Amino acid sequence: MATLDLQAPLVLGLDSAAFGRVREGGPEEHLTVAADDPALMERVAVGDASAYRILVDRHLRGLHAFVYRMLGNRAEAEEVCQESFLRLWTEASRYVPRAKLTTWLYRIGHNLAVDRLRRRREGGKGPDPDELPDSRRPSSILQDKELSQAVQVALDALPERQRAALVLVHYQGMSNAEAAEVLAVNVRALESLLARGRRELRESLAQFQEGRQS
Amino acid sequence: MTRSQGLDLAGFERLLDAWGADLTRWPAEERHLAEVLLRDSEAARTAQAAARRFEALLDSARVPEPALDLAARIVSALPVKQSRRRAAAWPFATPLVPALGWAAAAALGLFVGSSGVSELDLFSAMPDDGAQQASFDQDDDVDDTDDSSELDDLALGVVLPAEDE
Repeated sequence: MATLDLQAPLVLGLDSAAFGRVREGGPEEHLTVAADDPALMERVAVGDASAYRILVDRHLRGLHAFVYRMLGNRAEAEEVCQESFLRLWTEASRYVPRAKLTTWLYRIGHNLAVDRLRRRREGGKGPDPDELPDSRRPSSILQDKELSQAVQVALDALPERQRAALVLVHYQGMSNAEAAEVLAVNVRALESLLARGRRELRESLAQFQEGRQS
Repeated sequence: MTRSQGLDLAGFERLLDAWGADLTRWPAEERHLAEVLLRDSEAARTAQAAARRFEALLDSARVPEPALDLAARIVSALPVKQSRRRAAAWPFATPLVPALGWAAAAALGLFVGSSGVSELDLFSAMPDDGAQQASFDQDDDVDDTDDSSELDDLALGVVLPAEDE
C-alpha cells in the first residue's frame, strides 16, 4: 500500500525571499523542523510565519496528493492547497490539538475540493482531469504508461465520498478512524464507503484490463 | 462456505473490502480470526492475493509533484497577522480607531476656539467661591469615604481652574 510520510520535512524549492515579506517569529523562540504540529500551530496562531513555513513544507505534498486525487486536475489542486493553507493561517487560533493537524487540514482541503466538484456539476461540466485521452472509458486506454490515468479516471468516476475515503485510507495511509474524522462520519460509515468504493473500482479496472487483453 | 472461528470466506471478503489486504491495519480481534482462516483456507488466501493485486494496481496511479514554487507562493500570499501579544498591548482593532479619536478631539478644539466662547462663559454656570466653600464645609460633615463617582471626578476637574483665578 502506498503511504506518504506526512511528518517528514520536505524541500519544495522554497523561496526564502518570499518569506521575508511576512513577519518572522521572534528570536526568543527558535523553532526547528523537529517541532511537532501542535507547537507549530501555537506559533502560527500568534502570527509566526516561520512556523507556518515549516507546516507548509511538512504537509503540502501530502495535501496536494490528496486533493489532486479528488479533483484529477493539477492546477485546481494547487489552488485548493493555497486556499487550505491560507485558512490554516487565518483560523489557527481555532485549532484544538485534540485532533491531529492533518485531520483538520485534510478536512479543509476535502471541503474545498467538494465545493469545486459541486460547481463543476452545477456548471454542467464533467470532471476535468489533466491530459485525458479522447475517451474517458478506462478500457479505451491501451498503453501501459496510461495505466495511471486509467486508475485516476476510475477514481474520478466514483461518488465523491467513496473516492475521498479510498484516497485517505489507501493513498494517504490514514487509519479508518482518522479518515472517518476527516469526512465527519463514523467508522462504520467509512468502512461502508470503502467497501463500496473498492468494489466499484475493481469492476471498473477489470473492464480496463479486459480491454487491454482484447 | 469455509468457516473458521466465526469468520467465513464471505465475511473475510467483506472485511478485505472495508480494511484492505494488509492485515496489520485490521482491528486485533478480526485480524486474529482472519489469520486462522488464512491458515485453513486456500480460497481465503486466493482472495487476499487478489486484494493485494488490486491495491498494487491502485498504486500505479501517479500523482504529479506540486509545482516547485507552490510552497513559496503559498507563503508569499500570506496576509500579515497581528500577534496576540501585540494585540494585547494595542487594544484597538485597527490604528484607525485612536486616529479618529484624536481627530474628533482636534475638531472640537478648533470649534471651541473659533466660536468665541470665552473662559467666563465656560464657568458662568459655576457657583461662586463662597457658595463653593460652603459646599466644601458642608461636605466635611459628610462621610466621604466612598461617595466619589465618575461624575464627581469630572466635576472636580472643572472646579480646579476656577480656584486659580
